[in-house]
Amino acid sequence: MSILVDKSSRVVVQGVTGKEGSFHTRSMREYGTHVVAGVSPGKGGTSFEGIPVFNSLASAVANTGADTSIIFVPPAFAADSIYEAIEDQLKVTVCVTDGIPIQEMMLIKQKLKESNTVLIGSNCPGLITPGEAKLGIMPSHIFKKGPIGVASRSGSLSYEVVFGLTERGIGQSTVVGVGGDGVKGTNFTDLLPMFEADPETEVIVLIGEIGGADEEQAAQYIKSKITKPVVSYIIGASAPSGKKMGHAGTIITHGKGTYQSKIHALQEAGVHLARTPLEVAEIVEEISKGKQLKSQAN
Amino acid sequence: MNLYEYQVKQLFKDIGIKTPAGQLAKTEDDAINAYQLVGPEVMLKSQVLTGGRGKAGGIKAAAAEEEVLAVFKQLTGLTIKGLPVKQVWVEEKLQIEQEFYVGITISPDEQLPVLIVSSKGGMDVEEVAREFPEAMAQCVIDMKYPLHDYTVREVLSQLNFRHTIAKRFVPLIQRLYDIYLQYHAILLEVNPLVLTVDGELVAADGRLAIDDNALNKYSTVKKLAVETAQDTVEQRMKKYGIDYVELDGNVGIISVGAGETMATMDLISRQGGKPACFLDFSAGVNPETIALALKTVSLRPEVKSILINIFGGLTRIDKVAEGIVYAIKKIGDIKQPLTIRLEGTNAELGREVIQQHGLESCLTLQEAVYQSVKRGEI
Repeated sequence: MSILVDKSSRVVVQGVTGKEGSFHTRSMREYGTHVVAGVSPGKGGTSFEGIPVFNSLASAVANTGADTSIIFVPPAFAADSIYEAIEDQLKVTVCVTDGIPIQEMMLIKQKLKESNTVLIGSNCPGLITPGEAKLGIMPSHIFKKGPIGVASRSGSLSYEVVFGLTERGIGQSTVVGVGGDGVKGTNFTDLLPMFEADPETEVIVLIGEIGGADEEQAAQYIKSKITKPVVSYIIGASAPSGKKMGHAGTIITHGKGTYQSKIHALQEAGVHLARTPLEVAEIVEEISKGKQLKSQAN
Repeated sequence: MNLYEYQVKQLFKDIGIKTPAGQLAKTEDDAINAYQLVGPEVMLKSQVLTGGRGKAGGIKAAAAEEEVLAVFKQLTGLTIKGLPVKQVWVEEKLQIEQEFYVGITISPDEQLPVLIVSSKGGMDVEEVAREFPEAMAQCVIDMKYPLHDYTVREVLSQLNFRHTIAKRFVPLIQRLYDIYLQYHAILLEVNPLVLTVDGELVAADGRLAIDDNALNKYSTVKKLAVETAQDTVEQRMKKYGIDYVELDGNVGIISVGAGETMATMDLISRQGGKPACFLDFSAGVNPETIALALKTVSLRPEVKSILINIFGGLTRIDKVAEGIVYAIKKIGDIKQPLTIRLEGTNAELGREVIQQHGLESCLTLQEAVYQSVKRGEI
């Protein structure tokens, strides 16, 4: 078990013939991801390294039974690709593209509420169920199969944390990079119930950052509904307010989404707080050993 | 991207929102002309892309030509939050009955636009929210539909607005929402929105932050971007795919990935150092971008120590290491001590490259942070 994707996921790559699309399609396939089709308007009828290419997602789905997609489409057209994935009722779609305007994402978010499609991203590294399937651009070799579910707003930092876990021999069930934008398809609160229900996941790790309300909402949810131990690492304590630190979602506005408010909410919810990426692995290790838990107050 | 106040006021005027009569002054002659046109009592407002101008002494009143000249000189000699004042907006002074606040931004909870109205304008919204919560009302806007009259009326009713005032607020707020949508705003504020003694609603200030992601896609916004373009280091770096934010510390940070960079900043601060910048070149690590990053950071006199912290995921660390060696050779003389931490794909190869060139690298992030802070103290 795992969440969102596994060996049986039938994956279609939207934008398969582009530079990013082709590079990562190869890498995903090498990892074992079952890529059944590609979409590239105008290139229908051709194939990419043995993968049939279609002009539209609808025909790719009809011909191959694809149920999951990943989008490698430039920012100007990526929103359109997301709508297409929702329209064609894919179970999961991952949008890697960075730079979709936030007002477009707000509209997409409203559309998602009326559908059963789960959108991961945009502006995200994707998700991976180690040993089964990778949908994204993560470096495969740092992951290892195991009992830790990870959700992160930062790609680079999730690699750092996962690397720390894997080095200690602790594997992951599914690692999801939700993305660094202010408005995105999936938030922590969407993933928490999935990790809670997944028998393979024993500990949940949330890597958050300043800006937005994801962590505060997650804390609320954890408090009332999550029985598994949760470890969290929040970055941005030293970031000045009003400035954007790389991610569009990191800007602190109107006093909301501060480091302190997130830490406070998570502490209240009984989440174990780490102060460094390495400490995440240390705390998880202690939890897995069943020793006395070390909750770090910041 | 933020717009200047005078640009926002032009957008207001174009759509039928009343603004005080005014003119932009770049020279003393401009200032006098503007005064003759909109006097006898005027406000002179520094045009810089930052908040808190009033508190920094960047907004002043004047009531005679000599006074206008003196204030103009004073303002153009100011630097507000690092930004030199090069132009001043001169406008008629309003006779104020009451000040309001109207803003449209994005609700992190609902992930939709949110309209905020306050009967206490002219001050910090955060302050109002804290001290006078009853003076604020808000509602989330369903983007699929127009902003209905009744939705706005409902918000205003929470503030007990007189019917006659409420009636004027409704079309004004709808026009603001049009601007918000058309210009892909992240934040649109009128503060203060003034009710004059003559009973007019006038936008005495305007703030518009446009979504950077919309700049390349929508022609309306693109045009404004050209007019507003500023030649800052931050913007120049952006052209090379480098996210760069200058901070006021002593340890320069060079990293890959926004999360990793921010985490490094936090660890530096926790160790007692102060980050001198946020520098993330995730859009493409190559020898030239490393050289540009290193040079930019090393040229700042405040920077006493530089930390390069790179966790390579897709990025091959041996290539990064070669890039670092190239960058150091190219720049020649870097005065600050350099601390390097390389981890991830091909990290061992990369660390070998570093060592072969007489440089050292740290094995852990903790050690690198400790070293870079210590070196910055000397």
